[in-house]
Amino acid sequence: MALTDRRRVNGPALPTSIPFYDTPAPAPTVSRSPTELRKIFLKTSLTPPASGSAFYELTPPSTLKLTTSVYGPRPLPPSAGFSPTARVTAELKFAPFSTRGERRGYVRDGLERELSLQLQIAISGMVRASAYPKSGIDVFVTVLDCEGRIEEMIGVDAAEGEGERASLGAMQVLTGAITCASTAIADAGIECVDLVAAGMAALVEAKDGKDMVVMDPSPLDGWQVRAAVLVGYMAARDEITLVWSRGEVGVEEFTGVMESAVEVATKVRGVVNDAVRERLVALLKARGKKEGKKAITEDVEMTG
Amino acid sequence: MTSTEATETTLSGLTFPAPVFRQIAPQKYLLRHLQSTPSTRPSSRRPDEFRPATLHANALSHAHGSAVVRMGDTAVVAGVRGEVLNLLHGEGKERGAVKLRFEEMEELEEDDDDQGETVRGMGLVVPNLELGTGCTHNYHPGPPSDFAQSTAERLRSLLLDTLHLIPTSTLRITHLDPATGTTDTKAFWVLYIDIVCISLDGNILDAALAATVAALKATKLPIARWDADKEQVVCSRDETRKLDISGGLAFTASFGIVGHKDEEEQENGGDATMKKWVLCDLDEFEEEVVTEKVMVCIRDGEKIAKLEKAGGVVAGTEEMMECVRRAKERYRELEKLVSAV
Repeated sequence: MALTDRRRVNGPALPTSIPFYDTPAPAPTVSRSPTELRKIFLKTSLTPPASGSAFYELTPPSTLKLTTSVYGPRPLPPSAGFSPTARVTAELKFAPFSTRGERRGYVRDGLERELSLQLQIAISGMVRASAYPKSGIDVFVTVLDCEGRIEEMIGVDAAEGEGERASLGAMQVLTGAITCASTAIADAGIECVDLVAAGMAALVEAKDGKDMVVMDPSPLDGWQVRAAVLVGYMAARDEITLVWSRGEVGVEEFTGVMESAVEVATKVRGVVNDAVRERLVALLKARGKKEGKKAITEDVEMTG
Repeated sequence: MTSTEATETTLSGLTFPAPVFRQIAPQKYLLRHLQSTPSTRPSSRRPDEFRPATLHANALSHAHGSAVVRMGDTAVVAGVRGEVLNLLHGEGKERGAVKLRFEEMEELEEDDDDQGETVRGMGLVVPNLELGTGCTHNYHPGPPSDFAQSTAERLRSLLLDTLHLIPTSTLRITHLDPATGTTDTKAFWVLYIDIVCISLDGNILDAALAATVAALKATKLPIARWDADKEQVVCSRDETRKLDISGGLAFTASFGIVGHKDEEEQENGGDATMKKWVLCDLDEFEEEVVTEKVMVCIRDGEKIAKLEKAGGVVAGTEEMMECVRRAKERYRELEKLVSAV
C-alpha cells in the first residue's frame, strides 16, 4: 500500500511475504456427484444488538463462513435526502484472515465494492420498500472464511491465466452472502414480498472432453470450469433478482446452466425457510409463556 | 383518554413502562435495580456475575491460529496469520541500503531477553481491531471510530508493552551456516493478529484480549528454514510447530463502580454512609451509564500486570481490592477455558 493507514497498526516498515512452501498445494479432487448439493448451516439472531442477523456456514470439508447483520428500518440521515421508499444498502467485507494467499487489507477494495453492489441488487427486490418511506435498511456482511482462492480465473484457458478475473471462490461468497442476507432481513421482521435464495451452477469440461453441468460447484472440487452462473431467485414468485455469469458459454447452453442454478436456489430456499421458521417458533413459544403468567406488571413507578 | 382516567393518573403519580424509564433516566434505572433485594442488574445478572465465556479454537481454515470468543452478547473472532520478514535482500546485510535500515535493529535482533523490545521495535506483532462490521448500531464500515482506535491501542499496548507474551526467539528463523558454523538470523515471522467483532454488547476489551490469547495459543506456524540456494525462506507444508508463549496467559477483567448516598435519610439524621456496588463485565447499557471504570489485567502466576482506573470518586481501597479479587477468579475461569486449546 502506498499510503500507510494512520488509524491502524501497520506492522514492519519493510514488506512481509506470505509463506513459500516446499511442495505445491495438493490438487483438489472431485468428491461429490455433479447433482449433489453441500449441506448449509444457517442460524439466525447470533448478533443480538442488530435488528436481524444470520450466520451461514457450509459444512466441512467446505470452509465458507459468513455473518450478516441487518439494521433497520431506521430513519435516513438528513444528508441522504428524501426517499419515498426504503433504501436498502449492502456492505460486504472480507475479514483480513479470510482468504488464501495475501492477507486482505481493511480498506475496501474493488472486489468488495463489486460484490456489495451485486448483493444489494439481489436483495433489494425482496423487501416491500413502499412500506417504509424515508427509511434505510442496512445490511452488513462479514466474510470470515472463504473457500479456495478468490482471485483465481474462470474460463477456457484458466490454467494459462487467460480467463476472466473472477473466480468460483468470489461467486461462492456472493451466493452465501445473498442467502444469508435474505435470512437476516426476514429475521429483522422487515416486510418482504418473498425470500431470495441464491444458487450456482457451472459448465465444466468432463474427462471425456464433453461439457457437463455441475450443480453447486466448489473451487475445492477441482473441476475444469468453463463458465459459472449464479442466480438470486425468489421461489414463491418465480422471479429472478440477479443473474451473474462468468466465463464463456453458448446461448443454448446458458439456459441449461441457469435452470440448474435456479434448481439449486429452490433447494437452498428450503434451508432459508427452516432457519426463519426455527426462530419464529422460538419467539412464539416465548410469547406464549409470557402470556401464561399475566401477573407481571410492566410499569415501574417513577419516584425520587 | 377520559377525564376520570386522567385524575387517576395524577393521583397515583407518573408511571412509565420500564423501557421508557430506562430511556429517560438511565442512571436512576440502574440504581433502582441495584437497590432492590437481592441486588440485580437490568440484565438480571448479579453485580458480581460475569457473563459466561465460550471458546472455539481453530475454526478458520486460512488463519494459522484462530479463536471465537463469546461473552454473553459480545462475540469476537481473532485470527493470527504469520508472514515472513526477510532480513536479507540480494547479497545480504553487507549491502549499504539494507544495512542502513537495519543498523539499529541489528542490536535488537540479537538479544532474546530484551523485554519484547525487538518485537516492538521491528513491529513483529501487528494487532488490529475491527468494529465496523455491523456488530452494533453505533459503528459503520469505513475508517475506525475513535472508540475502535483507542481500544485497539489499549490492546496493542497491553500485548506489546505490558505482557510480552510472544518472545522474539519463537519468531526467529535461523540458519546454521555449515561453512563457518555460525547461526544467523535470516528472517522473522510477523504475526498479524486481526480481531473482528461480530456482535458487541459492551466490554470489548476483555473479549478481544481473551480471543487474542486463545488464538495465539492455538497458532501453529509451518516449520521454516532458510534455503541458501533460493536465498529465501521455505516452509514445510506438513510440519508445523506451536508458538512458544513463554509469557504465559493473561486476561483482563473490567468493572464499573456505582455509588449512592441517600440524601433524604441524611437529612433525617439517619445512616449517611455511601452504598457502593462493584459491577463485573459491563454490558452496552451499563457502559454508557457508569462513569467509574476499573480494568485489572492478571497474568500467569496470578500477578497483576496492569491496573487502570478511570473517572469517579466512589472507589476506595476496599472496592479496588474487590476488583482484583474478582479479576483473579475470572482469570482462573478463562485460563481453564484457554488451557484446553
